[in-house]
Amino acid sequence: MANINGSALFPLADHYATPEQQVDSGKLGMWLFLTTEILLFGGLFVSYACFNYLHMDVFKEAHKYLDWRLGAVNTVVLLFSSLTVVLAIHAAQKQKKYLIVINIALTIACGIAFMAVKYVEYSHKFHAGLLPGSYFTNATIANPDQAHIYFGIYFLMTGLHGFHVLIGIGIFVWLLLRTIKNDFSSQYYAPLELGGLYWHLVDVIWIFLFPLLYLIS
Amino acid sequence: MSNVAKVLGPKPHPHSVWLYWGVFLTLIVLTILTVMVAQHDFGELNIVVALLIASFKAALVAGFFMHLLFDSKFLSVVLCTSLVLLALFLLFPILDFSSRADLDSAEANFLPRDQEVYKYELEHPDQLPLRPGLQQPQKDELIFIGPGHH
Repeated sequence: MANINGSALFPLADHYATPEQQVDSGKLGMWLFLTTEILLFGGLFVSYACFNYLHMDVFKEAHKYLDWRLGAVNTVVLLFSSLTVVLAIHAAQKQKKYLIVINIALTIACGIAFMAVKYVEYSHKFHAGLLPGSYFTNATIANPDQAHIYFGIYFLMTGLHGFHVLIGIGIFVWLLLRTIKNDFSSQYYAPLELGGLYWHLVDVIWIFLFPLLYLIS
Repeated sequence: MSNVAKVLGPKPHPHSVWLYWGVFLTLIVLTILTVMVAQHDFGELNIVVALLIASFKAALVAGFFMHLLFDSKFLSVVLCTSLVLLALFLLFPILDFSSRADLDSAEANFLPRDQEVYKYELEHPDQLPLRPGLQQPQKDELIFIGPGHH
C-alpha cells in the first residue's frame, strides 16, 4: 500500500461495507437506468413497427432518400468508439494513464465524428424538404402525402439517439478531465465503467437503427 | 455528502486486449454482412434477417463490452426484464394490426345495419331499447356515486 499514490486509492463511501459492494451498487443502478432507456427507445421502435406495417410501400420508397453509406460509416465509427471505451477501462486496470487519456480522447473524437456525419445528413434533408408532418415539402418523392410519416419517425429516432451521443460526449469530457486529475487507477475506475455502459447502450441502439432506417428493402 | 475513506480497491482482472479487438472485428464483419444481406431480397424475411444480425451484434456488445458475461448474473436478469417488457409492448400492436383484416371484413357487414338502427333510435327515443341486450335503466334504479350527486 505504501507505494500507491493516495489519490489513486478507492474512495469508499461510508454507507458501503466494501469497495466491491460500492462498485456492484453503481453497476446495478446504471443497468436499471439502461432498462428505462431501452423502454424509452422501445416506444419509438414500436411506433416504427406499426407505421412500417401500415405503410410498407411508403417506408420502402422513403428510405431511398437516406444515404446508407453515411449510415454504415457512422456504424463503424460508433463500434470503434465502443472498442476505445473498453480499451480505456483496460488501460485503467493496467495502471496506464496515457492510454486511458488516448482512448477517451478517441471516444470523444468518434462521438464528434458521428455528430458531424449526422449534421451532413440532416442538412441534406432540410434542404430537400424531407421533414416530418406539415414541414414536408419534397415533391419528387413517389407518395408525398404519406412520406412525412417516415421522416417523422426518422427524425424522432435519430434525433433522440443523437441527443444521447451529445450527452455521452459530455460524460467522456468529464471522465477525461478526471483522468488527467489522477482520479482513476487500477484501484478505482468505476466511473469509466459506468460511462462506458451508457456509451455501449447508445451504440447498441444505433446497431438496430441502421438496418431498420437505412436498409429496409 | 457522505464521508469517503481511501482504501485499497478490488483487484482488477483485466482481459486480454485481443479479446476486445476480436469482438470489434467480428462486429465490423457483421456490419458488412448486414449491408450485403440488404442487397438480397428474402421477401418477408428481409426484416427478420436484418434483426437477427443486429440482435447478435447487440449480444456481442452486451456480453463482452458491457461485461455481462463476466459480471453478476443479476445484471443480465435486469436487462432481460426490460426486453420482456419491450416484447410485450411490441406484441400487442402487432397482434392488433395483423388481425385487423378479419375485423374490417366483419365491420363491413355489421356497420351499415348498425348505423341504421342507431339513426332510428335517435329519431324514436320512446321506442328504446331496440337492440338486444340494451336495457334502458328505470329512473329509481339510477345510483350516482361521487361528489355533487345525491
